[in-house]
Formats: sequence, C-alpha cells, structure tokens
Amino acid sequence: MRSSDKNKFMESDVALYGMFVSVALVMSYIESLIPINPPVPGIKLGLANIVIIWVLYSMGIKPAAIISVLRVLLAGFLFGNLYSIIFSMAGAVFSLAVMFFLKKVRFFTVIGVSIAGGVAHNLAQTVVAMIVLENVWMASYFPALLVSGVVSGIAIGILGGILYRKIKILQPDKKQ
Amino acid sequence: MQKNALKKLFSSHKFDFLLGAVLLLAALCLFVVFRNSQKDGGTVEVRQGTDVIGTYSLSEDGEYEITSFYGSNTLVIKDGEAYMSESSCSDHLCEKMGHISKVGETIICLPNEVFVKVISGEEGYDAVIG
Repeated sequence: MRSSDKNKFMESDVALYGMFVSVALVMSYIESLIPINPPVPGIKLGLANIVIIWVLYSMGIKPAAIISVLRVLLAGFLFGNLYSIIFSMAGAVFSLAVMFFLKKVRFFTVIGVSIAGGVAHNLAQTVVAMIVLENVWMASYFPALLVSGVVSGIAIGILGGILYRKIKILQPDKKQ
Repeated sequence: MQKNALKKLFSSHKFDFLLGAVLLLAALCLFVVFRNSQKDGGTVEVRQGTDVIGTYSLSEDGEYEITSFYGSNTLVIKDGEAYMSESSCSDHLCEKMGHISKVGETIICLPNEVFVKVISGEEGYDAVIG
C-alpha cells in the first residue's frame, strides 16, 4: 500500500487526514454547543486549533494547512454562513502562517506558538471585519480580542502540547 | 524525576511568558487609546446591505423597525442610547451587542445585513425629520 513515490498522496494519508478533519469538525461542533455569550463578537475558545497545533507539530505545515482549510469550509457549511467562512478562513490561514514561523524561530514552545496563533486569528478577523463591513471602528473590539486570544491560546497550547506528546501518530516522513 | 521535568518545562517557557505579557500590555495600551478617542455621538445611521436606510437622532426616544429581504430587526433609542431589542435572525448576536452611544460604535446583525452606527451629531440631523 505504501508506494515509494514521495509526492503521491497515499491511501494512508487519506485516512489520516480524514480522521484529523473529523476531529477538528467535532471540536467546531462542540464549540458551537457551548453557550457562551461574549460581550465582544469574535471571542471564542478556538477548540479546533488544538487539532491544528497537534497536526502542525507532529506532521508539519502542509497537512496542517490542508486540514485547517477543509475544516473551515466544512464547519462553515455545516454550522455557519458565508460570512463566518470568510472570517474563519482569514483567521485560520493567517494564524497558521504565524504559528509556522514562530515554530521555526524555536524561541517558543507549543504554548507560545498557540498564543501567537490565537492572537493572529483575532487580528486577521478584525482586519477582515473592517474591510468587509467597511467600518474602521471594528478595531475598537481588538483589545478585548487580544486578551481573549492570549487566554485561549494558553489553554489550547497546553492541550495541543499534551496531545502531541502523548499520542504518537504516523509520521508521513517516515514512510518514504 | 517528574518534578525535575516540570521545572525544566517551566524555565523553557520564558519566551512564552514574555510573548503573553507583551500582547496583554499591547491590549491595555490599545484599550486606553480607543477609549479616549471616542466621543459621544448624536445620531445613528442605519444601513441595510450597502444602502443607508435612515438616520435617527439619539436625543429622541423611539422604536424603529428595520425590515429587509432577510428578516426584521427592531432598533430602540432610549435615553441617548441605541440598542437592538429584537431580531429575526438565528444567532441574536446583535441583541447582545449592548447599548451604543459613542461615535463609531456599531451594532451589526450579519444574517440580516443590518448595520447600525453612531455618527457625530451635526450631520444627518436634517434627515431625522423625514
């Protein structure tokens, strides 16, 4: 089943990616069930980021990007609307990029990377909100979002780190 | 041994703490800056989609129904503040966005594409009479 062709997307990859997308989707679903009424729109736990961090650390940037984008699209169609897809996509892509670079820098642990990811997510969403709604004053929500990004980033980083350390998954690199 | 590992973990997180502290400090600074730059506004502007469908003075109490293709929202102006009292949308976020009175503050109902924004008093005053 495992071919020697490095670039080929293998059957085992399909299963693995599918599993992670499902777990990320379940996280999104759980999050939509938790009845928190934030005083500022945009504050959320970011549970799906646990999975993204887990994948980023154990499998690398490419699988993390694929799973992240798929998760945003699926969660958007299932639980959201067009606006929530635009917002989530901007947040997910930018936060993944920031997390990838901070991981490369090596100063930070999973928690630091996760904090930066959470804040980057909120920053991207604020900027997109300013553009889409043509309202510069959306920026006034940003300080509260910054705090929420740091707090949830710490929690998500701890959880993602535990998953990464405790559950060893198939490394795509080792197959080659 | 586990204690040792915990200690190691703690000391290896110093950059994480630094990052968190810097970001929280930035949040505080931004909050102060935004708070001080906000002025009391006199008028709310209501947009549905891209069209301005009305401006209402904050000094007059009143209740306004905003109907659109997507549904309806009820905007209430009372004691110089505006808030959304009812919305036909599914998430009801706009009802939770609270009372607005400062220039630039907004209430947004995304599903119905209704945007309520406080603008400064002078402009739009003529439109109130309509």
